Amino acid sequence: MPYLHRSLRPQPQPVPRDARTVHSSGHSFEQLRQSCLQSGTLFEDADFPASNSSLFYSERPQVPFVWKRPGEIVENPEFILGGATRTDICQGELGDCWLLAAIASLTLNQKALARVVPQDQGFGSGYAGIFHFQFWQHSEWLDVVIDDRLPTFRDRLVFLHSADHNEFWSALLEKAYAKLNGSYEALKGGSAIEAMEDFTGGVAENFQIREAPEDFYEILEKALRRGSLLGCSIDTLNASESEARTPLGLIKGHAYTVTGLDQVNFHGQRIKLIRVRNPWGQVEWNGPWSDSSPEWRSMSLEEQKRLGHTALDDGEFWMAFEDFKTHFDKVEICNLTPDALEDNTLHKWEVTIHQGSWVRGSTAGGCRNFLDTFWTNPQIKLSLTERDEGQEGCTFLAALMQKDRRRLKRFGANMLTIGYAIYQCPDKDGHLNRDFFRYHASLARSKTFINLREVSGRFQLPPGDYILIPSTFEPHQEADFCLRIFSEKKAVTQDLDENIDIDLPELPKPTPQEEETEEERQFRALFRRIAGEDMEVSAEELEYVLNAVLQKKTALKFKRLSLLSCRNIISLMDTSGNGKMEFEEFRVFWDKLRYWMDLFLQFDVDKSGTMSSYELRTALKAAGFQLGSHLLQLIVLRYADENLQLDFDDYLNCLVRLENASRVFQCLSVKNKDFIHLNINEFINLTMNI
Amino acid sequence: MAALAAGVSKQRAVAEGLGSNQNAVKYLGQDFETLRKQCLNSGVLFKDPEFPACPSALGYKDLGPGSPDTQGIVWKRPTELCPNPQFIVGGATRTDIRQGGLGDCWLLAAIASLTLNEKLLYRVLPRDQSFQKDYAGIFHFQFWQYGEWVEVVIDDRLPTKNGQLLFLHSEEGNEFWSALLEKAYAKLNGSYEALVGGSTIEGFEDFTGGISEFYDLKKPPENLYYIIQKALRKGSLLGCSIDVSTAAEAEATTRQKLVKGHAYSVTGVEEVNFHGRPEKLIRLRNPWGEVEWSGAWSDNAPEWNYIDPRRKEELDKKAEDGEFWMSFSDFLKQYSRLEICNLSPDSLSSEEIHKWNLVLFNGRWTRGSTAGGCLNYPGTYWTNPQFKIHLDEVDEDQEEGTSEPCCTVLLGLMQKNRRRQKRIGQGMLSIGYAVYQIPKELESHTDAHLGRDFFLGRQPSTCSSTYMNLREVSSRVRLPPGQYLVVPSTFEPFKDGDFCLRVFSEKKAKALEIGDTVSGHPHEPHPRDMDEEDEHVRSLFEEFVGKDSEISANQLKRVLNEVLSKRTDMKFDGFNINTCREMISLLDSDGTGSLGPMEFKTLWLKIRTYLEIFQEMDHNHVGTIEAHEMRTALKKAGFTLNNQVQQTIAMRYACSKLGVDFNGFVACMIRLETLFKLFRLLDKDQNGIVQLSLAEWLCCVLV
Repeated sequence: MPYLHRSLRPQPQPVPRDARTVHSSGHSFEQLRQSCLQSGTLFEDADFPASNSSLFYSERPQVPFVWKRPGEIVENPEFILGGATRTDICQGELGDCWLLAAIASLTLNQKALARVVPQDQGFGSGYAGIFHFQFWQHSEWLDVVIDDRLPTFRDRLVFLHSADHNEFWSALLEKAYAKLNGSYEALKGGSAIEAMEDFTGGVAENFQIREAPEDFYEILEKALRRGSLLGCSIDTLNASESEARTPLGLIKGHAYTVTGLDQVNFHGQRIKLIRVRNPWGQVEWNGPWSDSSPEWRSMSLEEQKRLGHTALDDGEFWMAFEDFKTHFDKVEICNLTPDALEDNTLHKWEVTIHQGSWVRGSTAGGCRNFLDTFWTNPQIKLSLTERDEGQEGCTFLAALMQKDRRRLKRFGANMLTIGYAIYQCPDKDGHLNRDFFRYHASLARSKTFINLREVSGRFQLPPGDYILIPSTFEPHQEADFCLRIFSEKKAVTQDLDENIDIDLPELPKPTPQEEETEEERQFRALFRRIAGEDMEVSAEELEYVLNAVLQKKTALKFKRLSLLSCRNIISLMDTSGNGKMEFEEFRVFWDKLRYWMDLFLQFDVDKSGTMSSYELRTALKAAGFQLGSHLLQLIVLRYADENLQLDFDDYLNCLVRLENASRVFQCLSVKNKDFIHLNINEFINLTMNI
Repeated sequence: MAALAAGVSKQRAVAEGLGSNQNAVKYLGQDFETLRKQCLNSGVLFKDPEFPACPSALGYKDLGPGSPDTQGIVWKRPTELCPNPQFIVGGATRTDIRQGGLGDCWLLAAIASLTLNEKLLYRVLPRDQSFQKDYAGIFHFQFWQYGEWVEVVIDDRLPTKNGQLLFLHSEEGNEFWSALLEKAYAKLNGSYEALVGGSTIEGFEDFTGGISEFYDLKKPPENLYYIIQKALRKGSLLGCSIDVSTAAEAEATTRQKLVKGHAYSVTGVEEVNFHGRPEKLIRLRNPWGEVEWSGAWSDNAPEWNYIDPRRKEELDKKAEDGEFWMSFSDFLKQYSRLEICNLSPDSLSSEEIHKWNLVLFNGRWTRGSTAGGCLNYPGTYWTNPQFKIHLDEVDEDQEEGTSEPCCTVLLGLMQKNRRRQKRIGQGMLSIGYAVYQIPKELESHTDAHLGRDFFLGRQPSTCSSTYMNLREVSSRVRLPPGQYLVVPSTFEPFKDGDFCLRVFSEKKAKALEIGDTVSGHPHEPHPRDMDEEDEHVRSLFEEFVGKDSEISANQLKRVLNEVLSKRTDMKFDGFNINTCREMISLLDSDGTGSLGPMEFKTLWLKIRTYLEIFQEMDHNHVGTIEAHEMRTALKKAGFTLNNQVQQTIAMRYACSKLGVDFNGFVACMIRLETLFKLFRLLDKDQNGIVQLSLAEWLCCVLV
């Protein structure tokens, strides 16, 4: 059955109820609109003002822009004219064709479009100079409110505009998206897939047409049938070729939209056709099956009508699928989430979303080329439970997206080079260590590490448990990420992280004096000399004692223990609450300290006097503290220096506070082992003392 | 175990009934029932590892290891001393208490008084133990300790010499409850030697939880006879003694066979008709069980011949066990002091009409924050803990019809655990308290800690007579209705100590500790508030890290210390790395572990505010402020903290000379602000309590 998306008359669509309001006032679109209507003023958005800061962050405007409302540009502005169609998107002076291509694709799916462009707004009654649009951002929908002042020059829209000059929904949508990303300039240069995902929450696939699988036509056909959005482009060899025009009327480095597929009988042969659209709204392919090509004369008028053939230079054209594969280089497919699809559509994806972070010093391990730190990346367990219908394996799309990079462009942040690898999951629980990755090869991986917002791949694996390791190429690079798994059957993900599990043995009873070792007798003498008869030392005295003793330990290279560490030690060991440490308490602590010292030396592999923060997880675990990644990230932020190293004093301070806090929790969680309850007095008092 | 957490945990357990007589705290975690079962199952008699039968249990100096007095001591069980030992023979009576070779007559007198009240006795002496049924060599007793009841478990090995009990023993040679009770009390206080030298009042209180009074019999109140009569009716315990001039006189016998420096019990008062005139008599008992008064109204005195024989019979004149009568006037002449232990409401049955109402506080003097010393030290006196009492209802039966209607209050200030500290040379502190009337204009004042100004030029309305190095200082005061402030203190400042303040009142009284609320509202600067110096700081920031970049802890340290080192108006050694980390923790809004330019501006404005406060408090310009001034400084910064938090801060941020330098000051401020913000974030439903999982708790602590 040939599949063809025809433009439909506008239908009332439900507005997504779950979009989150993001205006800084905390008010929703409707609240802001009512407020303007009551006060008789048109809305002006302080979050995204009509000034140069909303236009650019690094460039200077080449012409004087004038911000105007649509009513100041044309006499009779309309939000949507004749339904939102793909011909409403014409590119302006901003290099955001990738965005326009995505918007054009959006118009092919009315439900998806209505989710992005709510129908409850216009220039008629209820107009207040305010509009809102909704975008998907890393697993949640945001409602973005804007005023309708648009940049113009000589009374014409400078950026995106519609073929009908009094239609403004697409220009306003572009403004909302610019606001979401920080400025119009932030929209320069991107992939249509990025925008497609932000409009739908779907997951993207990339195909190099030269390497496309045998069933590529069927994949595209299924995608369109599923309501996916498709974009395509021609590569460029260098920057100067960008948007160069080929003799056959195609533009290089330019984003096109795939809008349809069909098959026709031509001279007794079945010919596969593909319909493509140029977001410029003009400049079309002039080869076979182009608008005025002679091939159409052999078709019946009925068939021409069915294919929507027109001779207009509106940017949309048919071409043979073989020609398409010859001339185009890339196809991008945006697979939609189940909630974006009609109920009667078959084959919805099951979606699983997982959020995480790479934090330098603890979980920013880089790719497997950096074996010493690769294992510290977040580790995500992926369980594939059911094989596809009629298949041996489970098909899934894995998409790794880095978050907020476009917003951080103004601070010099670029897209990181990201990717992932998939391993067979061993039977044991807990964070996998370095040796696992040294001795096991990955089963699958993303095609390449690439500096796109999202890297995705399609895989088929037998049912079972797997470990997916997302990473940046280089270590120590910080970012948040969102991993999505689209699968035929439901998949389950969880952090292969360690539950907090703290092993605190009872503090040993002091041994009788008769059994003191020679070292302990020396300590006792030192204690008596410094502390006097009561055998209790203050923090300053403990600082003196410990530093005097540790100076003699030649194996340990460190400056000195700080007074703060000694205060924390006393806080841990002091049972009477008088702020001093008794000799018996000191003996117990000394045994603990020797153990912790041995651990430190074990992990200070280069004998530099410092430990790498990446080793902290293992060291803490050996000391009895199994912590999750989030806690580790906090600890590294606090205790590691710029080179991600911890010296002995910081290491000791960290352990003492961990033990103190753990014992407090243990003491107070009597009835319910999982929680403690504190009022503000208790909270401040207990926390100040650790 | 962290001491603070243990304290919080215990406070909660107490709120749920732990520490009552029915739910006593297990001393050193020993549970009698569990241990007894274990011994019965294994067929082994109990041996107490916490109080072993060895020299250290006897004492630390005169009775310490190596002392000649401890030669030849053998620990034996009662079953080894006689063929048929009994816990109690014929009920526990006052004749079961005979002093041994330990100078703890004050304790024996208290025990003797205890036997006059069976209900009180069996609170101390649970009846579920004996040498017959379920005997396992283990016994337990309960004592009141600073507001709670503590159960003490012992084994029954007792110190003996030549087959005789060395210390307390009973007239019946095979009765052992009193000797075992003495051992349990010795364990509670650390050793037998710790029991040497004390006041009967101490024993009274530890056996009953009551509050004690002291009367000087050289200057007795006119109505002393009626006070004693009322006290006995209320079930109070009474002890008396004759002072000694020199140590040599201790336990010397007077010509009329009274023992000096020795504690007697008062066991009754009666009035008889003698030669047609009423004669007030008082009955006393000598804990030795022998050596009785031989003057008027003694056992064989002729005065008995002149009263009604039936009356005489009632008064039980023939006892030969250390109990005797004497006239009240002779009592006043011969004896020096009288002690009365008033019992708390839970000690008395509902039939008794006049029960005291009791409010109890536990508190602490901590050097550097709440150990302010007495009024002689006005700079720190105000930092002592402060308690407010509301007296609304006057007493019922007004004894003196002519005077103003008043409320009777017994105030008792007790220092804790000093007997245990004896072994390391720390004796009793000199303690006392002052009572101030709160003027009408301050009555509606929020319950914030009163500062130095309140006490300047203001005299206490009633003051304890003197600062004394007794475990407890108490007095009975009669005050008009109103609000009063009680300030307990040590005589000298900077003395650490735990205390227990009790308020016994005829009518219900409201009482609370002042300054127990905790709140934080620090000043939140706006980055626009910048002036010329701040421009210099900003340019320095950009020089170090460049525009729009972020600053790490080490870089922050260099920037701040470079700026502050140029100030000649303060003495400052620079911020350390940990303080800078705290700063970043507070202000780092994006979780990068570093500060951006806007965050840095906010931080700088905070530091300037802290610097102004610090310099205002640093009167001598020495670069430090006194730890006890932190409360004032914190209040200026917007923090209201209770005593416990003040004490924690002094311990954490003050050096051993009790000074806080600017680095510690800022570190404290920053951390407090971080914690208050955290609490507000975590308290989602604004009910004042946060629920934290272990992960959340560790995040709060380490942030």
